[in-house]
Amino acid sequence: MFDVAIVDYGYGNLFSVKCACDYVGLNSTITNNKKKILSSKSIIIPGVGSFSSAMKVIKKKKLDKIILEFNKSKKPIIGICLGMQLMFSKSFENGVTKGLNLFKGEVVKLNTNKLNIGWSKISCEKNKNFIKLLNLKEMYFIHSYKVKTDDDRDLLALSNFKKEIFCAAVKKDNLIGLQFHPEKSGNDGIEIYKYLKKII
Amino acid sequence: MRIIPKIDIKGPNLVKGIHLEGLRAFGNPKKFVQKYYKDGADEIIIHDIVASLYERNNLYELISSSSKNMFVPLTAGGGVRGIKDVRQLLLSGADRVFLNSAAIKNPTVLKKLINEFGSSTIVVSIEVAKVENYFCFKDFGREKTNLKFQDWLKKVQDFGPGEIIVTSIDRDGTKKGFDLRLTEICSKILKIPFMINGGFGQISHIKQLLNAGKPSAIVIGGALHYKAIESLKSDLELSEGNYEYLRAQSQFNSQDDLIKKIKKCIKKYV
Repeated sequence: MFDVAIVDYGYGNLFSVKCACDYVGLNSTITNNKKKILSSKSIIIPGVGSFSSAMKVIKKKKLDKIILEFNKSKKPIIGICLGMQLMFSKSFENGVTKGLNLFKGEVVKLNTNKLNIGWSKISCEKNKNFIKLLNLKEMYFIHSYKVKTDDDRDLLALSNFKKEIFCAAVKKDNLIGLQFHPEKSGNDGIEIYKYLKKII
Repeated sequence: MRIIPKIDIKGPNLVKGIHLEGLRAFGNPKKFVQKYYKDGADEIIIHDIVASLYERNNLYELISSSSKNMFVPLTAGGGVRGIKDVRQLLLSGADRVFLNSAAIKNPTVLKKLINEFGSSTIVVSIEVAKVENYFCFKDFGREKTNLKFQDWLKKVQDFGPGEIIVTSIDRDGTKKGFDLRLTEICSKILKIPFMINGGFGQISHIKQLLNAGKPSAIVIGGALHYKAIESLKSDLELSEGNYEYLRAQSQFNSQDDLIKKIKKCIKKYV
């Protein structure tokens, strides 16, 4: 049994996520195998690429059903970057595509219509404990779409790009979504992996 | 604005020259990657500088071993010709991949790569020198092309890569400061982010650069490497290449804590 199943749908920096898991002592596997995923203590949905083509592969490999089944167990699911966006109801990237609908809300283009690449500070909403220690720390972002949550209670952290404030992290029960790449955000980002290790 | 050390490799060594020539060997690149990560680099660029010339690729091992304990983005390139090369680099642990020569030879390859991997993953590198006008070069500055810099810059932008690295061959390794005119041109033409490489020598160059334009990142090689070898020297496992100068105990006139100092300077002016 693995601590973390890193969901392999052919997109994303799977290896970097695995390296971060190794670094903090999380026993992880890169997989799209149903049994392996369901028996893991947590899953990470990584992601780089476009929403629609990612969703196509996820459906083809029935990973959507597997992830939703995993969610019934209430074990932690972390979505990173595109992986976070995939957890939402729908996206407007290259037309309208339905997502996993784990979070209610949608994925839309940043107002500036530009790629946000680089490090920015995140500010954490209220007292949502785990990420509190990352308040005002700089994280690495690379994205041109953002999520809009229907339910403000899901908001965990905000950040900004050219004066536009956007959602940097969401949390609801066992679900966590991060727009930034914790495995690419130096020691502060690694804290997220340490947190995961603590809660599984 | 990010500060990005650039690690140029040839065979087993990190190398650095002047105007991309007269390469000196600095030893095991892994040690430099680790040091720059610890020193606060925002990203690392690794460039296999002879890969496109000899059509070979030995980056993969370096990238995968570097990724294991370095948690900032890694952009890799050199000898990237198509989908297979990009996929292999990404699987090895690179976050983004850049290409120059192959894009010049056949621009449609850019379109293919961007379609396959998304624009944020694909970076275009442009090596430029002034020969009356600014012209683009390929194969790590070895071969001049007939492409005018401005024309190519516009064309590349239209293909829609995530970012562009602009290297001034004239300034590379000189530590005389950035080619400010290049930065002005980029700022004027580009709506996508661009990184400026070549010429950094001292903190005052940063202020000059910021007055000329707003790059998304500053890329630095020699100014960091010459300082780093003071602390890494005994550890570099030199095996091939020109490294006599390392034994000569020369003074390299570079600064401590450069990355932190540059960041401080940027905070002041941005």
